[in-house]
Amino acid sequence: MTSKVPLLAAFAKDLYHCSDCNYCVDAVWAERGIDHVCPTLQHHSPLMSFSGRGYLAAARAWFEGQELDLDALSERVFTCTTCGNCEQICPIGLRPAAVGRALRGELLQRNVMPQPVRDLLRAMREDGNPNGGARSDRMAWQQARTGAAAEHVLYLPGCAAATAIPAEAQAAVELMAAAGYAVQTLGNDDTCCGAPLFELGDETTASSLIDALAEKVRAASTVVISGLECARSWQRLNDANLQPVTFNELIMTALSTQRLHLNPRATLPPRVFVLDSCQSRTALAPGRALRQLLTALGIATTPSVDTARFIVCCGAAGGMPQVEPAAADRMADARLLDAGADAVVVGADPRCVAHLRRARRDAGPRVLGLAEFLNTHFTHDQNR
Amino acid sequence: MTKIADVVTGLAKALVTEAPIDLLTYQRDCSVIRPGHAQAMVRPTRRDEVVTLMQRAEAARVPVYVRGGGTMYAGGVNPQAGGVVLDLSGLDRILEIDLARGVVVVEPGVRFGALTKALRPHGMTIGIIPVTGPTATIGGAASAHALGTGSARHQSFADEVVGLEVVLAGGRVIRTGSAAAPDAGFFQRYCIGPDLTGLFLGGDATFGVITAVALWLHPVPAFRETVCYGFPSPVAASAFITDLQTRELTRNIWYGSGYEAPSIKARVLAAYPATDPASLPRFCVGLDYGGDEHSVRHDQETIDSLCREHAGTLAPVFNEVYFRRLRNEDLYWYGFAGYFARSRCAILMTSLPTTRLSAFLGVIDQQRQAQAAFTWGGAVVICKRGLHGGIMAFYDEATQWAAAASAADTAADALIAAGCVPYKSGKIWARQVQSFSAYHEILNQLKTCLDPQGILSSGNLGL
Repeated sequence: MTSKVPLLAAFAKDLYHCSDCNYCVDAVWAERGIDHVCPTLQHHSPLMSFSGRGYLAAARAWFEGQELDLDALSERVFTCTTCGNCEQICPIGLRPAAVGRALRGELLQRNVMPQPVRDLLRAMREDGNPNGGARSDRMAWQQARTGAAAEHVLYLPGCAAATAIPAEAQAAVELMAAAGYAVQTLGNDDTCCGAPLFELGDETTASSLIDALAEKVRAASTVVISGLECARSWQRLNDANLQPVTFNELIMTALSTQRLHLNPRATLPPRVFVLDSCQSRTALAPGRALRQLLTALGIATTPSVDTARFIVCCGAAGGMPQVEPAAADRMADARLLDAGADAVVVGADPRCVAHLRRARRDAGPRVLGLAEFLNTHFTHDQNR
Repeated sequence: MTKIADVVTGLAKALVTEAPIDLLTYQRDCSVIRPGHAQAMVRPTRRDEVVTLMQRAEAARVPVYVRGGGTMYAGGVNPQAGGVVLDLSGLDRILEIDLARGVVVVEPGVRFGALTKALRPHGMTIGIIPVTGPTATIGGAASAHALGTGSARHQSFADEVVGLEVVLAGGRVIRTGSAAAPDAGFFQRYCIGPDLTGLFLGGDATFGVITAVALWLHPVPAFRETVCYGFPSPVAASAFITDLQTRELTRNIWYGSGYEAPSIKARVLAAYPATDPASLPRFCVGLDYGGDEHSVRHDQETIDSLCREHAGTLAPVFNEVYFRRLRNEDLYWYGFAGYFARSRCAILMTSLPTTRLSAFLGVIDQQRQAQAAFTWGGAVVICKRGLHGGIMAFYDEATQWAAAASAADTAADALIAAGCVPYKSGKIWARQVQSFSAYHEILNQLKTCLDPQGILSSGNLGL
């Protein structure tokens, strides 16, 4: 029985422990900041088979040897943002999102997947990123940074900043340079950390990509990353000698140590909506850091507290924009609706920023990455 | 066309699926009861779709199982006779908040969390909120006699219902209470003859499909405070609770519950391993006061004194490690789901007079000895009068499923023998409900009258 679905067998305890309480299907709990759970159920299909509980039920049935319609299963499990809100809310600590990834893995091994997933895997294989740009263009945004800065940092922009919103990567480099860092990159050796493949269920290839990247950066004293999905790849690597800092953490430190001074260019936007990311639920806490940073710069932020813990995904993750672009756009619209049309939306996660910017189609609030926002609204000088 | 296709084809705007992969999640609830296998699932978003479905289902004699949040633990939603699962979670609109009448009217798929959130800006809430609140639906609570927060003040969810809108098996729509009169709306339950509302409350969707629920509104308590009292024996505790109830001192209690010795020991020793187990009370009563501060303080003093009269003492450690944490962090809403932290568990809910508390706890001890393959636990919720008790048998579903169902059935018989009665009947109490022959005969006659083809939620209440 178990040998047929080895990836699911690893979750047998979860499959038999799930008590069908349905918290992972839908819940509203204002005191905890829970306002619905699953973005796919909210914005794609209300069928429970698209939810964490559906994945647990399907995995158990498959594990027990039931014949399942794998095409139908693939349509359901590849329409998941892998945001993990179902795991956040599960009162008994089960891992429905991980089971969903395991189901994806089993389906990939059987070559059963929707065409957009096939295309996405091909893009990863051929272009080295999920956004489709040529491998050779990955670092085209980069400008030479020269100077006599004493402290070196190695900057890994991640696929979203490098290939979807390169202005964010460029702005990040400028700000780090202004803070007195000699910013280096891997140039043409810069590669994907494997996060998109991990989310698609190909954990083996994902691991090999982060391992390879780790070897390339091992000599660097400080590694700075922009992508929060990349941060999770580094967390999974769990190498005590390789603990990159996120860009917003670095800038926050630079400001608090007065290594960097930011001066408003003109009138600042009256209100900034902080785009909390489901990727930052774990130990990263960039939402809190981002709010501190913006508050320190005299900007009012909404929501006033970090909502990442139970935030409903904006649709950027898990292959959703490629597999179900219309649903991914509805997820983005819902987040933008939260922001309000007059807000400036600022995100610490370039993948969310890129997705929302594409989804808003020149309507709704302006969406900026943190570095872009700081570069747009502030001049900077270095305190040497 | 198949009979199922006759029923579900072309239901405008209703979400319909017959795909086996989708139906996997509509086989069961949280209970130990075996799953059923439906042929289709329909998730309407408008009442007229429910009407059409019920007309067609009756004509084709296709079973219909009604489902809300699916958080029941009595098997009431399990489609044992096959047919169609009618998922009402898509009927999720709050229809009316009438502050002047003190009534809120909602569709059945509204989740408690969504309703309390919507009422909060008005400073209002509803009387009974079950521990499954974030995900349980109002319609499900009405169908299954919910209890929980508010039971000490208001007794049962059913007591808080002003009236209902119900679609009967053939598609006929009725409104109960004052709303039975055209254009009168929901403002009074007991009028125009007997209480037809009550017929559908706790009916496990066997008599009709609830498509709207009107509930009384109550102000959100301005002040909350939790206190736990420890007692040397369940007998002393039950005398204390009886006094609370007969002197009507539950009016400022937002939530009240009782915990047996193993639960107290486990919770306290987990937090303070050096505690001498012999120093722990044999039974704890947790009271979450809610009301205006002056009134709460006044009642609290009286209740403190009552506790001492019954040889009780304050139990601040248990209050801190368990009860206050439940309230402050979890609003009890993980209480239910938290039961499952150890493993899946078979839950049997029962009603009992307060004076039967020791007998109820005796049943749990008896199961611990006689059915040692399972870990047993239990707790009680304090109502305005009487108690609701829950017995839990923790089991490994991979290896003990059938045995756990059988163990729960044995425990159910023991509860009846101890003077307790079935509560949240669903299918888990079906055999015992059937044994109340005169009562069950009337239920059967009502069923025949309201659902002549017997298509609705077959198996629930033993019908």
